[in-house]
Amino acid sequence: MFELVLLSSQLLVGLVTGLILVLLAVGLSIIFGMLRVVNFAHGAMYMVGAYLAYTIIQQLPGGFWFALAAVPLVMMALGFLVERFVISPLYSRPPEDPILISFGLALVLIEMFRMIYGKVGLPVNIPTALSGVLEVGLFFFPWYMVFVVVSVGLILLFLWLMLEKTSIGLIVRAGTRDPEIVQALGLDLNRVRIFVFAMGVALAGLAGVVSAPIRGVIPEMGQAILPQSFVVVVTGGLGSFWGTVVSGLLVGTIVSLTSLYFPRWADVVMFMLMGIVLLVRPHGLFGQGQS
Amino acid sequence: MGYGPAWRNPVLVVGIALIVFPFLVTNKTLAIQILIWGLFALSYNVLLGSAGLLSFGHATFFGIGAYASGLIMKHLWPSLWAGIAAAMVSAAAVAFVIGLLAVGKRGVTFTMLTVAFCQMIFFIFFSPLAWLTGGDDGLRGVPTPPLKVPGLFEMSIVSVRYPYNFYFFALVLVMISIYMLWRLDLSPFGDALRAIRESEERARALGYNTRALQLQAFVISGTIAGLAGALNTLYLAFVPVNSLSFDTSGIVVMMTVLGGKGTFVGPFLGATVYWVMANYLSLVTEYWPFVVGIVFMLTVLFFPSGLAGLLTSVTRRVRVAEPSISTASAARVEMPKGES
Repeated sequence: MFELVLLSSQLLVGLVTGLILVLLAVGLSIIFGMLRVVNFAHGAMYMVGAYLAYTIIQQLPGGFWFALAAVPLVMMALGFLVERFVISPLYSRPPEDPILISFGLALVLIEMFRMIYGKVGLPVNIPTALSGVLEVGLFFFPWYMVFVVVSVGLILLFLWLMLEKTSIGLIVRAGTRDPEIVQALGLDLNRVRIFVFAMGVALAGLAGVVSAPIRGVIPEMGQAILPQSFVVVVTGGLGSFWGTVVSGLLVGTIVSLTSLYFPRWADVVMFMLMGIVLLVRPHGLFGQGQS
Repeated sequence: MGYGPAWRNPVLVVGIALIVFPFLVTNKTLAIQILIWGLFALSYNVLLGSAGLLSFGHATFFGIGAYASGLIMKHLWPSLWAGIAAAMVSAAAVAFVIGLLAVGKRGVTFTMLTVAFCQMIFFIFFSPLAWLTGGDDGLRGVPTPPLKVPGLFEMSIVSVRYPYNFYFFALVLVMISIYMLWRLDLSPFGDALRAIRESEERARALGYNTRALQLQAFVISGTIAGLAGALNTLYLAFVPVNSLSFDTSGIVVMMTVLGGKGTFVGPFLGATVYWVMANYLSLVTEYWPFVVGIVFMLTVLFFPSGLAGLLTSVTRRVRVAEPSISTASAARVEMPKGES
């Protein structure tokens, strides 16, 4: 019975880990769908979002709720600026150049936050309203974790509806297949790109806010999670929304179970999963055609 | 086949510069670092410069080479050549396996896969294999066997005590690598890689097996990176765990771009810029990577062909007045390097 209780709370941890990865992976996917750029600054954006949340929570009572609403907007503005002044000048260059600059940007952002906040990690308080534990019989789940599952789940649902049912989503999906088609339809490709990049960055910032009370903040947090979100994207299949969700949850669950039973392998197992999936399905779980 | 005027021959230019360099600087450590990391960046250049493959996981092969040579020399056979051979063979084998899974995928997927596999190998060495690799502490107590050529001579190459011995021993291996990569670059294989870089579809339509060619480039590049890793082990008598890390992969990318991708001089220039900043800027501020990052971003934005490209355009502007017969042959030599 004790075993089962432990297992259930570990599964919840896995679900939360997975959902945070999905938020990052979806942002990465729409960005390179439209811009053809692997955004190496995506992890740094997650870190920036988390530090913004930390600062707001430090200054404001009940600041978490404010951070949850405000940080994605601030990150969106940051995304606009970065796309406009750093990424977009390189569209006419060989495809590796915008990727290289995003890597440089990540390095610069990390060092900036080291300078401002120091090199050591800082803890972030869980909002008081969510600090308790949900008890179901013998099982117990921290309210904050439950909140993350529900709210991120809703955000993903909302995102999916936006991508599937609205005309904005239609444009984004068309662009993911072939960015030139957007131009052929008479739309301004540059504006679509800047919007998509800002949206992806906002999602990364949101992931940072949500994870801050669980893991605290440290300047390197983005560099650690970036490869993990790559794994989720590749395993799920490039350009597949539900593929990304499924593989994110799979990765989260497997990692948290492995850290319970074989802790030494916890950091390795997701890459093994990716390797196996690629051997069986070269385009990922839900990917089709050209990977 | 003519290789252009001698002063344009990259093997000669790099060779002479590297022979003279250690006598010009008082800091012999700097010279050794530039030699080893220049070779590492040169191996990376085969991917980014020639094949147009953007890998962010090249530290894997450097690290595998470093650990393989360290483990062999420490536990099995304290011989220089055994260590170096083990490094190159194991790096080639790992590159082949990773290449099978990653090469031939679309550009963005390839890049993400190289990062993922780099992290995988790092964590395998970090935790499950810690009993063998020393985990976080790195692999300590690696011997530095003497350089023996049977019947001729024997000398110590312990880098702390005999920096010149070590430097020139390493330089011989570096020069052999440069020469081989240069010949490869001029061969039909080099042409095919560039054709694939420009347009994979067109190259395939011409009958090239693009995936096999890129896989070969990936393995060659990994093998030379493994050699650089072995040299680093011999130099440090120690293998730090970050030899395998994503950060190290990023450093070699930055060196190659700073110096100038697609050239033979560039990777060594880039290694020089990086290590000068790392050795001297770090004395001024602990946030020196910030400056490295800014310099790197500015290079990508404004000087995409790096320091080597900058130097070339300056010398060209100087010589523009004199009409030269060798323009055609010079163009022939320059063109394949593709200042794209």
